[in-house]
Amino acid sequence: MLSAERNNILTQVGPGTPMGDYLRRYWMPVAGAAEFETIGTKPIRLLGEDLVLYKDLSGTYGLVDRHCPHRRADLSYGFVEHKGIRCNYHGWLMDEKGDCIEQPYEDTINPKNPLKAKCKITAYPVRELSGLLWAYMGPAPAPELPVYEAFTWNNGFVEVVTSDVPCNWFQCQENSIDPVHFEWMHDNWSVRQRGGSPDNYAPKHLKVAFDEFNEGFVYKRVREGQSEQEEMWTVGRVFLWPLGFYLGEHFEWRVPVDDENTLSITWFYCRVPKEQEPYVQKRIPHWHGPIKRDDGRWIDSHVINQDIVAWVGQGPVSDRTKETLGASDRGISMIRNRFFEELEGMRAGKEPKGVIRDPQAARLVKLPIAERKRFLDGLPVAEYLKHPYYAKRLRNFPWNAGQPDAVRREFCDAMGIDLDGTPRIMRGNAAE
Amino acid sequence: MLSKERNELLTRVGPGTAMGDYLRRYWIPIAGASEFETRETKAVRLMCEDLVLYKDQSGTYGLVDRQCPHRRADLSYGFVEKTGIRCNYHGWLMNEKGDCIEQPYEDTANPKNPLRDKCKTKAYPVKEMGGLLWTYMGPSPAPELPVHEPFTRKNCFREIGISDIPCNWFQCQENSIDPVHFEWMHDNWSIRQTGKTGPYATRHLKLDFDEFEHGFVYRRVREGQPEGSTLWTVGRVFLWPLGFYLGGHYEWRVPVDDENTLSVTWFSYRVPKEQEPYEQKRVPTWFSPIKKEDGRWIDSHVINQDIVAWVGQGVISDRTKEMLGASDRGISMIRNRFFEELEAVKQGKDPKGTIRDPEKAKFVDLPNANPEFYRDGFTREQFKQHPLLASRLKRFPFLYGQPKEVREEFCRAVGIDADGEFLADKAAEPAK
Repeated sequence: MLSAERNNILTQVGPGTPMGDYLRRYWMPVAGAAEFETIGTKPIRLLGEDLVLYKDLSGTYGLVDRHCPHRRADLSYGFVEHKGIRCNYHGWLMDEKGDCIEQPYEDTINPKNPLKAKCKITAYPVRELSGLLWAYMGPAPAPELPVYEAFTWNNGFVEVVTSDVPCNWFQCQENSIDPVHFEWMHDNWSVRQRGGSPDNYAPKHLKVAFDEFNEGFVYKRVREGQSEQEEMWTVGRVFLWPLGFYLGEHFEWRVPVDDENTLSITWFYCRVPKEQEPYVQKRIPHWHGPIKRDDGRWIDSHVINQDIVAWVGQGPVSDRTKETLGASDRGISMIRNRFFEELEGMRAGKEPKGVIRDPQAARLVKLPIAERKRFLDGLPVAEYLKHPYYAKRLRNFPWNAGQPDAVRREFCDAMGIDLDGTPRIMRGNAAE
Repeated sequence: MLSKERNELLTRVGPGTAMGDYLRRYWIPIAGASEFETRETKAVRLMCEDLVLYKDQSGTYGLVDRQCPHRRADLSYGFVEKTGIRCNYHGWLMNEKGDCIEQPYEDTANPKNPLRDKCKTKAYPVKEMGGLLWTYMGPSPAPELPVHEPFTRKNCFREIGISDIPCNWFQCQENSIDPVHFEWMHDNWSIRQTGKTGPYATRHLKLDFDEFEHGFVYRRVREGQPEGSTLWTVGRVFLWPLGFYLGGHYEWRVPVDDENTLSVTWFSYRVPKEQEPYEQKRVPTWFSPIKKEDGRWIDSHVINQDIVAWVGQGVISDRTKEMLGASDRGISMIRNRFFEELEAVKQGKDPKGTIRDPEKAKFVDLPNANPEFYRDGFTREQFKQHPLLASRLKRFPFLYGQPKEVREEFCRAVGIDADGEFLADKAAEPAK
């Protein structure tokens, strides 16, 4: 349970709030780079600020104030030029640094136009890494953008999925340090959705533990039928500080849009079977995952959609004055306390947790990975079919609802499988 | 840039606000008369007042309080009688002067019913002119309703387009004294919408702004513009206080409340000389949507493009954050004029341009950059040689959503087929 005041501290993200200022000290993923294959500009709201993300005709990304500094028109209706984004109202042109580089009428009547040099607009740096666009909205100098090990893996098919989630970010991120919900929300609820009975419920959690490390926390678990030698206990899963979740082959980030909305950005890697190597992916596709059904209820058929049912179900901003935490929630208390300490630390001038200033160190950031070997070495396709996760993964995309057919086809081509998940080489054998 | 206080002075329009009281001293267009061919009551909100506009069975228009004086039921669900509008709750009947002329049960129980005489509801005068319904919401006596030259034209096809705009009126009206936006918002943005990245339209080289009795004119010189062009010698009209006049059409930005505006537009188009005499029986009125299904603004038509600018500036544009340049001199002029006017009215002066002389109001001429088209008329041959007039034959360029029946009526009036070809030309073609 938290007081209303402490709940506000964790959940309010606008400029000038402690958590808002704190989160601005990190690079955050904000979009898929592939989105800009079909659009030049995209309105985007981040941490309570209305902005526009664009890619100009020379391929430079910018993230600037949504409103033109001239007469405040909406730059998301502007158009991009060789350099910068141009307002469609009177043609003022802004670059990615926030400089106003053209004011056409003012420049025409006065080539020494003094107004232009005085004109600055809010602008945040944007970088592209592994199919994602990342922004840094904090004070200069920006820290390094960490290149996680997974971003350097070859021979994989990667896709980026975004969803708009109408609730506060923190309750989404609490879900990243919550091992027990897998048993109920994913395993047992899915059993019940398929018409199964309580007799079919999944193995129970017997033990959970939580440890802090430089880039976040890990949670560890032992379930019925598992030993303490297994990697779910010896390695665990990663609460990636401050707003990510990392499970080896995928990342999830809960990016605060404002106090009552969150952008869910997820990144998935699937290693191709040995027979498909070497595989080089030309571009990383992006797609937008819907979360609501036509009847107004939440989609509940896919893993992350099930999580989203929990998040939005807690209310636009979960009222933590009314909760009851138990032993399963020890990790949640730990990260809340850590955030409170960090906010204090920031006020005292300390660098936030895990921030990297050394360019060398940022080039490869390793995180704990259970079953690491299978990402490093790969498996022949016959092993995929026997593997509890890959067998399913080949048949369909289990994480978010709404994968477009085009992405499914690209995935199947990469994996060397037919649309129904059958490996093409096996299809060939059967025909012989 | 304006202070917050001065921005509020320009934008607040409720009863008792300085600008609200000022605008109430003018007749304003609020609807198309032809709307009342298919309805008899219409809920309208004007300058923060909820009202109902009606046409009773004898053809008299009224504009009265939305709420019945009895128990506050919604009179827009009432029904009209030979005289007045009757509340559908208990049958009280109000006339256009705001008198309650029947209180059925009270009248039955007590033929001398003293309640009725005491009962008044708010009522504003309504007049019909040019197919538009006009009201005056200020103190008595009302000034004259000026009959502008366009409303006296013969041989014209006229139509009225209405849109609901979710932003403050003043930022819409600033667009009426803004020549440079034509180059970018209409010319260049339209070029970019076709997928081309240039070349862009001719630049503005020179602007000027002059005040006259009924408003301001803006004048421009663009690259390649012929010497002596009426766009420089005459210009376009910012019609005081809330109109825009371009010779062939008017646009009014009517304040609904502080955060909403009713866009009322009136178009006239003289038919070819060969079609004369043409008499239009009634002026059609149609409603123009502004939003696409995906939630973005419609941007395919001239006024829709303007609307993208207006709403893009925010619900009430934050003028503490703007940066005005030489292109915006007209905007500063009209703001200052409004501030002076608000002061002058406080001193008891009649507002700018108000006409009290009935003779003078009968014909009010306005600056018009293309008078010959309306004064003399053009032959079909002249239409074909005139780029703007000719393109108007193909498509209505100003507002999205012109209904099919209005297009058909236009085609009949002008003597063209659905593709915009003159029927006479087709008849003249040799038979094949």
